[in-house]
Amino acid sequence: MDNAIEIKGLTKKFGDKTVLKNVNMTVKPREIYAFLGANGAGKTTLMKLLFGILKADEGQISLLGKSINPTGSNPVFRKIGNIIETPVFYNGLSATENLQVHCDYLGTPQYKQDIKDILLLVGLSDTSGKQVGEFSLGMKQRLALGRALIGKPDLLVLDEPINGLDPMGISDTRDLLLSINREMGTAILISSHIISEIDKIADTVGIIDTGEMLEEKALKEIKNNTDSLETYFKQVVYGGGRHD
Amino acid sequence: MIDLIKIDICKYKLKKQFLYFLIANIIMALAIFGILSVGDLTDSAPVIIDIFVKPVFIVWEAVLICMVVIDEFKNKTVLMLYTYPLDKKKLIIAKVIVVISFSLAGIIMSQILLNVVFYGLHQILPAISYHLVWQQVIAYLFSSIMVILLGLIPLAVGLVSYSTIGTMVTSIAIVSVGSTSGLGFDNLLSQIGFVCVLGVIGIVAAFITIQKMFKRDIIV
Repeated sequence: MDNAIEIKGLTKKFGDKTVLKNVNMTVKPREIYAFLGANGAGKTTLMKLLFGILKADEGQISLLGKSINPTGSNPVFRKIGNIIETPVFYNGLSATENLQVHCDYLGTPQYKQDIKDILLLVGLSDTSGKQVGEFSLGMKQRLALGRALIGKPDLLVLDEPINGLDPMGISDTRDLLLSINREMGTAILISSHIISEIDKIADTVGIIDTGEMLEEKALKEIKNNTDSLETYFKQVVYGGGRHD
Repeated sequence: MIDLIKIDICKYKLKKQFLYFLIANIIMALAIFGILSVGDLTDSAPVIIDIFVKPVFIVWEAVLICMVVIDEFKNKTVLMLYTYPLDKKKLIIAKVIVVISFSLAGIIMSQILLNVVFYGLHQILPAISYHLVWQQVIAYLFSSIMVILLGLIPLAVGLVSYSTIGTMVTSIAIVSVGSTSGLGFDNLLSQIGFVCVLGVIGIVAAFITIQKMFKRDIIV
């Protein structure tokens, strides 16, 4: 079975500034891979590169075994749900209409019949007629997760999916991601600043700092050698004298 | 491509534009009627209609450009749009086709509608001057097409910085220069040479800007 994500030697520069340096990353099938790093470490940049929103200076990316063409069409994107940077929607449309547009763009109108169930799943069933422009950040975040789940994806790429959620929302999202991963075998790449949440769901942790991938390790292994993920993260990022 | 165009038409509820089209035409008809009945003009109704319709649809086109193209970048929905299993160039070209089609249909329908109205009025009120020959019809049709292509200049400006303000200001600047430079009703937007040159500039500028856009990163 192909790896969900395979990145080799990825480098990205903005002008003279190198924001990703020779990054290698492997997300195995069916695993939850947590991507940790401080603000500006390069997490969102890497996720944008996966979809060709940004163009890499060097390196190769393959998703679900398919190489990515940054300008052309990538049919494999149909099997990948995502939240990149921030949950964005057509604010003049309702939640249902936004999800219908999403199905149309995916070229899978048959999934429109799942929209009601998806809205129920993410706790937005009673808001389907309201314009998304009136939603709170937490509601948009829930809807973005719902949108990412349409089409039963084989891979989810989620950039800070619990930002703006209340404690109940965080707990619901965690349970939802775990059940999707366990029941459907969906691989998940998730970035978050909330280490305690990552600690509860991740199989593998990747730590990035100032554009360099410092570590990729199984969470079990980390827990065997360190008292907590937070301690390990601090050791990796600050222990090497990188931020003196 | 047809599917992408259909999605954009549904997504932005562009059928609603028909209502605004009717309102704009009623306002233009009243203004033209006022000028023809009060003013001491040698020009007949088709000339005045042409003078009114072109600036209105240059601004109209800019509004559509903002709504269909620029807002995707300004509201960051392009981040989602680019994660679909579709050719990114086709996504943007479909939007430009939507803008051109709606604007072109609007300007031509408006020319026809207002001409029919004032031809009818001329039959009832002979004081309303109305003369139209085939050469004029062809000239108005051709210059209307060029005016819509000219209206792509604001698209090129807007795409540089993903700015709705830049798009609207450019279109208003074109209308201001084009409508007031000439003497009386002999304005630049009625000069076939002027609209042809700017029409070609519009299509070339839009083409180059879109080509360049795909070579650089999308930073929104």
